[in-house]
Amino acid sequence: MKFQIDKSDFLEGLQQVQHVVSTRTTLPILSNVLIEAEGDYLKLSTTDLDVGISGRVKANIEKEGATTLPARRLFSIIKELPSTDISIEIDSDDVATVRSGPSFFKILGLNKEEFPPLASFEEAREFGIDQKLLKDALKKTAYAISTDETRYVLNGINCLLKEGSLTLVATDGRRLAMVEQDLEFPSDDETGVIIPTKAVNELQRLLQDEGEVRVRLSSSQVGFELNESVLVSKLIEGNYPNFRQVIPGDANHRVTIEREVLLNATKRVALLASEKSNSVKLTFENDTLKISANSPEIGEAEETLHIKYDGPTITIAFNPEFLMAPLRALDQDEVFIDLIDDMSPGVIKIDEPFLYVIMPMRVTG
Amino acid sequence: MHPDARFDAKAPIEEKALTLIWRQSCNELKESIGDMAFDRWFVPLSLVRVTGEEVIISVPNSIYSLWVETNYKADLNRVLGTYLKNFGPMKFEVTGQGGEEDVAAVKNAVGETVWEQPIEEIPTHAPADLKAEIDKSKRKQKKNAADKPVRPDDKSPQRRHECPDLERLRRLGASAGLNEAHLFENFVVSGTSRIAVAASEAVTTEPGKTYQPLFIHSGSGLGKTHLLHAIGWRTLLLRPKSKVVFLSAETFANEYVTALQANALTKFRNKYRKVDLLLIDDVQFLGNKGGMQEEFFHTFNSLNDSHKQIVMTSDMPPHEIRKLESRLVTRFQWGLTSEIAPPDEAARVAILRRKRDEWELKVSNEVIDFIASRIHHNVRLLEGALIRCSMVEKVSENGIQISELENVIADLQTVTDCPRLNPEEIQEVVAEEYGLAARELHGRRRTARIAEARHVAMLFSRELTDYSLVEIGEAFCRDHGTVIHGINSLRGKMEKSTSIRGTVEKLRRTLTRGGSERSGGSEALLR
Repeated sequence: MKFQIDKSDFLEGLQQVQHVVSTRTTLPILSNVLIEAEGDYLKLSTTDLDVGISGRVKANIEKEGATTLPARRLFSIIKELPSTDISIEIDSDDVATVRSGPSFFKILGLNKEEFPPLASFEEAREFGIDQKLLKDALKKTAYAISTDETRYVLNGINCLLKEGSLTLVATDGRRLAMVEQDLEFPSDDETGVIIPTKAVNELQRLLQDEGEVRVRLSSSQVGFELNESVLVSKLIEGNYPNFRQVIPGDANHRVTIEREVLLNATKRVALLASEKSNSVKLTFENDTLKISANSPEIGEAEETLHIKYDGPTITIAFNPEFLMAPLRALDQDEVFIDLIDDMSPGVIKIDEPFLYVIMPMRVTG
Repeated sequence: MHPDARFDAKAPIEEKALTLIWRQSCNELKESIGDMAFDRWFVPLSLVRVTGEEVIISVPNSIYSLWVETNYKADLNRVLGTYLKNFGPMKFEVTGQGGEEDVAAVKNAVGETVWEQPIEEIPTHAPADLKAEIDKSKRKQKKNAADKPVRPDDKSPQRRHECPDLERLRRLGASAGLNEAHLFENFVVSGTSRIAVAASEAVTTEPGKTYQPLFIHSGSGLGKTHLLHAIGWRTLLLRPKSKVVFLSAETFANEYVTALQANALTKFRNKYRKVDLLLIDDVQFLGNKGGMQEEFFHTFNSLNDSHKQIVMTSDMPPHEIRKLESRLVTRFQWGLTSEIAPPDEAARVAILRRKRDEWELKVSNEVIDFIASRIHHNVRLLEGALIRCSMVEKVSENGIQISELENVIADLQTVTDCPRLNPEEIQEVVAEEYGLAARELHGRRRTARIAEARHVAMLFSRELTDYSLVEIGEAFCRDHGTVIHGINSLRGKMEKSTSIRGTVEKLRRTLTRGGSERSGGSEALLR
């Protein structure tokens, strides 16, 4: 196998797949990238057995073939090469010779037969989603995914395709983010799957603002095909908890706030949130919102925002991180905060189908 | 609340007490987390079990365990801590129906069952020398439960390693999950348990034929589990080749879930469908568990079809088990359903004396009579009281005063033995709280204050005593309809008014833990 390739094309291709490369050393082949030269393209694939990804880049193929090379190492070498023209030749023992201008590298690879094949989706259901829509929905929910491995069903985004809409939900038990989008798909394809965090992260990297992503679903795997790339992931098995139970009933009070103003004020006040309670207090009263925090041994902070509010005084404490996360992920100018009382969860909404439930912290004493 | 009045989680706690603790805790929780959150997350929850190792709270599905655990666990711990001490970490147990997929998985799994070959016939007679061998080696622990034609004492005791059969029996018993302390031999048969014991013995002589299944039910602490173990030992002794398995329904459920997760259902099924004698404790645990009932149904049928014996215990008769599928109810009733009623006083005395001898305690008959007269409904509590009294007797220098014992076992009698309350007592306590005379509660006057107090007293008479509505009515010089109406209207008011609710809960605390204070009068008499 022999090919010439442009440095930046090659780097881009490697960049796209190298995040998946396993850091576990138990199976050396998993730290390698599978390189397949065929036609006018070089196909690059990596996997950690849970998630697999492959993309292709244009190359000038002199002799077709395939091998695997250590992905991270290859990436660093290519990055440092002085010339833009790279020529690579691989011999029958999977030893790669890299030439570029004055540079010469020899890299030991592993046979392609050892590389675990990506799952195929022969009997899978297939449908298309607008890339931007999916990208947007993932961004608005992914930050709420739980990292608690004892509750593995929560270590991913719950995707429901039902009754003409796509619902994405993530929760860690203290907050919950949900996006609901209208989506056309065959009604007998109604389904719910949990896509693991790692796949969500990779997918977010791949998604762009235009075009469509083809989704393939089998009972235990999901595949995404977009922009010359394919992402395949195992699904999380198990039942996602009935998240609708978490969503509070009708709110008593709605406050409209400028998103960035709230975000920045919270960010500043949070600097003085005590490590122990890690909370900021929001006081809604007479057309003002006071955000305050104090740590006994450091000091205190307070920001006053002018809002429209004529309800009773409500004082509610939140974890500042949990309050800021959705504000960062959204791009609307205004957000709505729906409140019931001091002890009920708050809900952040926008004028699009998005909802974020945040549990209040009860500051003792 | 005085710390000593708290229940010790390391000692067994009656179900009734758990219910009370939970009810009280709920009221407090409501205060601290707000009605809205309470209604949403706590109404369907219940306190299932409290031990030194764990506190089990049942939740209908996984969102409850997630949300309550992450957001309200600290509150729960705090509130429970006012009623309990020494309790273990809190766990949430999903008892409701699983999601649709769960059920589907179970159905799928059931479809692929591999039916086992019929097992070879159980030998109807164990080798004669086994019994003899074991009888000979019988020592303190009294391991064998055999009907003994020969007195063991006429031969000199032999060393254990010379009794391979005993060792073998022990090994078999241990692997079946049997407890050596529970034998027919040390089960005190009283009038109320005679039928259950006879049925149990019959099961060991003719397994799978006479009573298939045998279903024993009784309140807690009356010896259901003891009988189950005893059946296991006797069967192993008579038929050493038979495969006996003892487990609680909960273990069954847990193993099932584990197997489901590990994709090892076939192994799980083989384990339970291949046994000759299946002893299942606390089968009421299956109530409300759809998928589990399906699995148990098939296990049951499989064993039944191959003429194996199943013995089950529960704290209530099959038809009263909540949310138990009717096909299981009827199957449970196929064979014999037998109840162990609480022992009468004579039996209680017999049990206590027996335990005294077995544990080699120095407790006088007088004390035993006293305990038997005070603690009625639960053998486990009797044992607890016996041990406490013996401790007191040991440390007190000039002999034990019966009157002192009243305090020693007070907490065992109070909530757990609520039936000691009667409407008259309740009337007195309630009247005092309202600043009235007790007789005003059964008088004709109906001012708001008197009526409210009357209704409160009716409510407690209903909740904390075993008296029927008619009897309660009589105590208030009313008919039972008036009692029902009174209680209902009070409950309505309690919903609306926190002050009434507060008064009621305060009184409830006084009534349920006030055993020692209230019996102050009788104590004086005893002196």
